[in-house]
Amino acid sequence: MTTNDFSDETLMAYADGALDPAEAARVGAAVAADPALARRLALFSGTRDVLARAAAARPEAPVPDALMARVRATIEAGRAGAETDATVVPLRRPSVPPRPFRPMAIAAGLALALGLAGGVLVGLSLGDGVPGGLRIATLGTRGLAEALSGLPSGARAAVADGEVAIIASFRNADGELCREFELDAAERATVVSVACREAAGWQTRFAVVAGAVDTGYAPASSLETLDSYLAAIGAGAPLAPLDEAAALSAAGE
Amino acid sequence: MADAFETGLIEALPVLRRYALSMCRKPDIADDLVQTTVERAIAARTRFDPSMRLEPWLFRILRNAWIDSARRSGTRGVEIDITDAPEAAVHDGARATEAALMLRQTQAALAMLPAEQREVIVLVCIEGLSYAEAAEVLEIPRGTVMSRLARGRVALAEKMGIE
Repeated sequence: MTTNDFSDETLMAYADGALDPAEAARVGAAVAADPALARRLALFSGTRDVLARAAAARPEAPVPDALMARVRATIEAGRAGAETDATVVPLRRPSVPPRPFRPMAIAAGLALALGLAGGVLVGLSLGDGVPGGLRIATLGTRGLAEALSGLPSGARAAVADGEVAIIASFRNADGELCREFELDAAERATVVSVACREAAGWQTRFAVVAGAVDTGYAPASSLETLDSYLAAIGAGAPLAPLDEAAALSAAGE
Repeated sequence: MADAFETGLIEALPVLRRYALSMCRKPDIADDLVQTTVERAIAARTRFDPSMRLEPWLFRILRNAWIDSARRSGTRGVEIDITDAPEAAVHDGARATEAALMLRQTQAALAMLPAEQREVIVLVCIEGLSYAEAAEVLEIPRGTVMSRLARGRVALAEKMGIE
């Protein structure tokens, strides 16, 4: 019997009590018979003990009153929103089975949203005249393509009847240059969008309404939807300013 | 009347705040992260499976919110120092008891580990999540959690002289 019979992961799971009884018994017998294996195990039981004591030694950290008040207000607002559901663009889709922690389930939810009449996600083709009276600024907005091609991330610029803020540049899994931006147009809903550079120009790949027309209320879940989308397309880290400038310059040629 | 979800949310606040502090080390930013987490959790509550524990689900939302804010600030220069500052935990020199010293040593050793190893150690060994729950928070396979955790603990044992 040698230490190679059990991996570090197995020894660790044994130390953490995470093995099933049969395997735990096998590891226990091997450890009892092999001092080298017992020394290896001690690394894991030792770190477990030290970290547990460190966790217990953490100073008490009561939740500040101000934070508690904000959270309670948010819960109240959520309850009021659930009753009237008037000002919030509906992002909740009760028909999607609750399967938390599964990115694919979220991606499926996104695809479903695309198919909803008057849905949350709009492509370039929708533009104005979306059912339900929402008017949404899109890539057709005059000046937007130029802003996407020319502005560094963090910059804002005036477009047709509003303002665009460039949030970040990144490359997707296919290596295309993509830009995340927000479009705030007067008397239209604010849109958080991702456009990617194709040979023919910028193409909208994702858009989510982040604020209603009259209230400017931005449901936080719109950004969660964006996160899910970015994860689904394998979005890389934001490009550093120099890399971004080089990529934009290359895309414009 | 608060329902079970809302009650659970309130009860999870201290743990959430501590987790937020472990990432950003700045109380005001941690409080904003917790608030964002609560907003997103309420908006997404129909996606929560009540048969699961609430805390890992909230941890995942919080971690994504942190990545989101770091991603947005990443293009505007570094606003947030994400390297650990172990001394931040020592708030009162007079209370430098053995436990506090040990906590400080542990945090100092943790701070030297690669972020991906430190992250799984915090979730499993400090916050008490199972391997499967940590995998859900980090959106990586359980096997990856275990290999990172094992490597991180071997490195930690070496730095702290645990044999």
